[in-house]
Amino acid sequence: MLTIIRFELKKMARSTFFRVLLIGCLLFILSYYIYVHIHTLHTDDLILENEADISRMQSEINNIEVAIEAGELDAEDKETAGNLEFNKEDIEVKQQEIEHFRNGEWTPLLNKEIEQYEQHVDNRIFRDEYYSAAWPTLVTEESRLEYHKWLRDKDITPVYPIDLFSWVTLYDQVYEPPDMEAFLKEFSTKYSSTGIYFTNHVFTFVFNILGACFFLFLFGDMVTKEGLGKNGSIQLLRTQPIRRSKLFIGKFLTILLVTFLLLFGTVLLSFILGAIFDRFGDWDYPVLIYGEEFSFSFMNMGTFLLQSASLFFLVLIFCYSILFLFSIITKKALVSIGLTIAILFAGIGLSADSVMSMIAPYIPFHYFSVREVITNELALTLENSSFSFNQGMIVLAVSSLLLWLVAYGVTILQKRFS
Amino acid sequence: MKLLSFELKKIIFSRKFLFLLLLVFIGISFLFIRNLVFQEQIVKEEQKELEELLQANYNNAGLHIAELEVDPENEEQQKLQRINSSMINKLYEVRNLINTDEWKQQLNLENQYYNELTSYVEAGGETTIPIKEINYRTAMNQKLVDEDIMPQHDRYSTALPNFLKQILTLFINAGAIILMLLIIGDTLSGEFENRSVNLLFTQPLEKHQIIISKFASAIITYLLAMVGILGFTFLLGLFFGEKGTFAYPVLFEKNGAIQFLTVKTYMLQGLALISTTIILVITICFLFSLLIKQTLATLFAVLVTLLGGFALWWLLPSGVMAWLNPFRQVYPDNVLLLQNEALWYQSFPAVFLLALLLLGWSMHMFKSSKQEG
Amino acid sequence: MIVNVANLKKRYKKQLVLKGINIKIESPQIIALVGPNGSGKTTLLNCMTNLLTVDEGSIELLGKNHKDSSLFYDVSYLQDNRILYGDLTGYDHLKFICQAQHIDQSKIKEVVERVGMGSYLKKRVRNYSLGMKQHLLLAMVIINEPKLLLMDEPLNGLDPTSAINMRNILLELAEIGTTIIVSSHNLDEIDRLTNTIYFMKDGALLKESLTGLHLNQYEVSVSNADKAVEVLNAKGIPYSLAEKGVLRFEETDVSLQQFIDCLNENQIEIISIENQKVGAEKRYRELFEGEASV
Repeated sequence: MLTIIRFELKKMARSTFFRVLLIGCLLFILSYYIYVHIHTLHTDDLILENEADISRMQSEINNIEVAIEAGELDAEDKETAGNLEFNKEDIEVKQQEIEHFRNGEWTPLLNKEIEQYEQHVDNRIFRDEYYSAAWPTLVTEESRLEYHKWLRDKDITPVYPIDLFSWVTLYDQVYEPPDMEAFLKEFSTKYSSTGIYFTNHVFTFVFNILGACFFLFLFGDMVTKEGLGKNGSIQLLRTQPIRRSKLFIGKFLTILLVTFLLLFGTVLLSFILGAIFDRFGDWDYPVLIYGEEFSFSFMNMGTFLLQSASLFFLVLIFCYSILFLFSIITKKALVSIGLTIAILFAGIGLSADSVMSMIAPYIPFHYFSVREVITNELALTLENSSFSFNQGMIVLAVSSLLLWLVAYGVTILQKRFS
Repeated sequence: MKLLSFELKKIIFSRKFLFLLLLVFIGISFLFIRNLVFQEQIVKEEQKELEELLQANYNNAGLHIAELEVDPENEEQQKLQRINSSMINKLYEVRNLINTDEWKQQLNLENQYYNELTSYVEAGGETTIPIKEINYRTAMNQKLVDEDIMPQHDRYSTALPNFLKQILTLFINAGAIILMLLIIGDTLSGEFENRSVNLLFTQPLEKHQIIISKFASAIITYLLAMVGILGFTFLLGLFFGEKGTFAYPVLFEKNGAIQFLTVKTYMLQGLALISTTIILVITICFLFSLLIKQTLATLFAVLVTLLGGFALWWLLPSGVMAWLNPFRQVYPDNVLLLQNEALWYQSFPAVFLLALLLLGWSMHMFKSSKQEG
Repeated sequence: MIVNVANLKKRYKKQLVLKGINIKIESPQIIALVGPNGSGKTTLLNCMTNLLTVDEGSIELLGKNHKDSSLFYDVSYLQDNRILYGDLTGYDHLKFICQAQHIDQSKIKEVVERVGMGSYLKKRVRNYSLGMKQHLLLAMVIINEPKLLLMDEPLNGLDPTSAINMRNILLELAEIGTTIIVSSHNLDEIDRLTNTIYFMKDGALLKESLTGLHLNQYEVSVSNADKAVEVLNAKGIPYSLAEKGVLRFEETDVSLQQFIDCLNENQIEIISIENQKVGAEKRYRELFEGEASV
């Protein structure tokens, strides 16, 4: 078996297409890192932002004072005095914030957010306002509060912005005014160039059907390029003392090995990029996980990344199994990869239709949106709590196994009728 | 012409083409059977949605009662409670009409409910359905009542026009492109991979003739596949489906307002959009085949170009850009149903121009093309 | 001029694979192209048919530049069977060639009979055996009755009957004035086809006409060699000793008949006489193996 894997690895490494795709992959990660780094609100940016606010408020104070001196405004007037007072207080707050930013003291900043909303959220819980769908829904406010508490208690550097407008959940369905939706969605998309968080960015970007398609192309002609059934180079392998089934399994294992290495390499690269240009990041960073009946919890980002990678790995195994089956049936790279992709899209499209039915959690195509599965967004939107990480792992593994059984059956039939 | 028939034969008599067409037919039959089987699901779905609305209304009623207990004179709450109770009554009436022949009355009632919901929101109440969605539903219901057309389920309809539209939607949005890439994706790159291009090169043929015949045969193949697929769907719907009407309304947005086109127009415009896009896809495929000369890599490059082009242009503002954007039509549903800043046919010139340019470039490249190595 | 290749050079990844080839063919004939694998035979044929670009030099076929695609009305090139389309039938291929070269389709029947592939003409090529594909390729190149026929390994996969059939067809074509350049590893078959051989070695061409080469040299095996030596020395007839009991004689002033008569007169029994005409294989060995062993 090792011989086959070594041989396959060598062939793969020599293929120009494979190399080009790998370089493309590398370039993508690098440029995405630059993009994320630019969009990250670093401490310096936060300080600059506050300083700009301060100078704006200072000029407002100056304006008011000039107006008072010129007799346009009355210093004794309640509104004027209030304005002055307000601006001055705000400047103080902002300066304090700058101080905290400089020293990396996040606890007081988080405390401020927590204190500001704690009572309000308690009141809403008391009034049981869960059924409202207008932003900010109770779950949104409650989860934001808990998120901040998690960050404070575990002494984690928060990813900015952390204010009210930077947090939406699935429960927010109605926005008033409607334009608010786009604004909030944009604002709540937070960027961080730390190693862990950037890995999260990459996973979010890659772990979906398009990512799966990329991997399919990477290995698309693994079986078919040898000229299955024709006088191709597969004859070379088949005339060696190697069983045919061993050959396919060898190829499959090679693909799994390379996939694993690629995923591992991606994580490693992201970590390294983060560590060099920002910092490693926090393993404990909270990720919101939805629960039943308006409940929710948080998961370590580290665990979340591990689960995402595992689930996506199984998604890929499932895709490869379809690809192998079609390769064996059609013996043509173009057709097998095209059919695999078509099946994936059709499967995802059709399974969205049958969500009402009882079998939905057993359909492997549902688990392609890895992130939504683990955060339970899928369970929430499809109103079926059976969708979970564990369920996904089992369903994908069993489906792949079934596909292999079918492939085995097909090869036996082919042998019999050839 | 001599070359064209040869090229056409190569594609159409290939096992691949027949195999794929068969698969598509099986898929269409499967969808039709699903629609038949899921007829009961329609009623269940309607009932479920109704229950959810009722639940939301009852929740709101609870809130109003609680508020009024604290402040019985609160006029706003009184008003909201009034509207809310009326809405609940409407929902009960609708529930009685589900699965009866009184569809017109049901639609009218639904619209009354939505109107009340709108005033409820205006009066400060909350809703689980976004206002935009309410407007859509109201307009659609009204249109159906006005035109005296029985409503059909979006996904599980077995009426010929609606089923045909369902298949066509799949066909024009990605379906046709994937199918065509599968069928003709290797028509040029495969020649280089198999070295069969050398047979063509050692015939007294002009090289541009070869490209033009391949191009023409690809288009004929597309037309054949299209006619085959739509014809099969038509026959399926005709023999096993309900009659329905081709005047069935399809809702689209134009400059922010809700408008309607008929299923027939939707299909014709959709076909026009996808057919022009296919011309572009073929030329892109040819060019990459000549540049890369390897099928899988070519396919990958074509898909990345289409996706990239679509995403890139999508990020740019539409309106004027639509005149310049040849990739806008890659997903025709967007073009047809969201005509806010640009009309549906606005990208035709750009598509044709780019296709022509790429075809010319391909011919030029093919002229000096060799099977090296 | 049928073929005029002048100083043809071709590089592949910086390596010179054709090192200034010159070929001039003025009258119809069969020429064999022989050389070890990688010596540049196929590259030369591909360059001649413009399937590969030429780095230096010029090629003219039938008085036209080789890039002129109208040449292929009169020039055919038998390539390896990968050029065939698996999904099409043999008939489809022939029909296409008839259409492309404006040949009457009635020729198909004629050529199919001549090649002997009638039974599987309407089958898809993917189901053909190696030999069947070779038959189809042959039919495809002779259907236009070319003035110049280039063939790359035409004998691959042919059974003895088919090989004989192909030889006969080529000889017939040569008789009606077709010039044939054929590359092959089957040296016996080449001997039967032609005496004009172009040996290729490391991208260079070595022209040889085996006609007349060692043609009048004989090895004569006798019963009593010592006596024969005495007699021949006495008569002054030139000879050499090839091995024990075998005399090598070359016809010069003395004819073979005179040589035999001399031995007969002295009661020396002649066991056998062998003409030492040099065949392609022998010459090939002399050219390539000798060097290989150095």
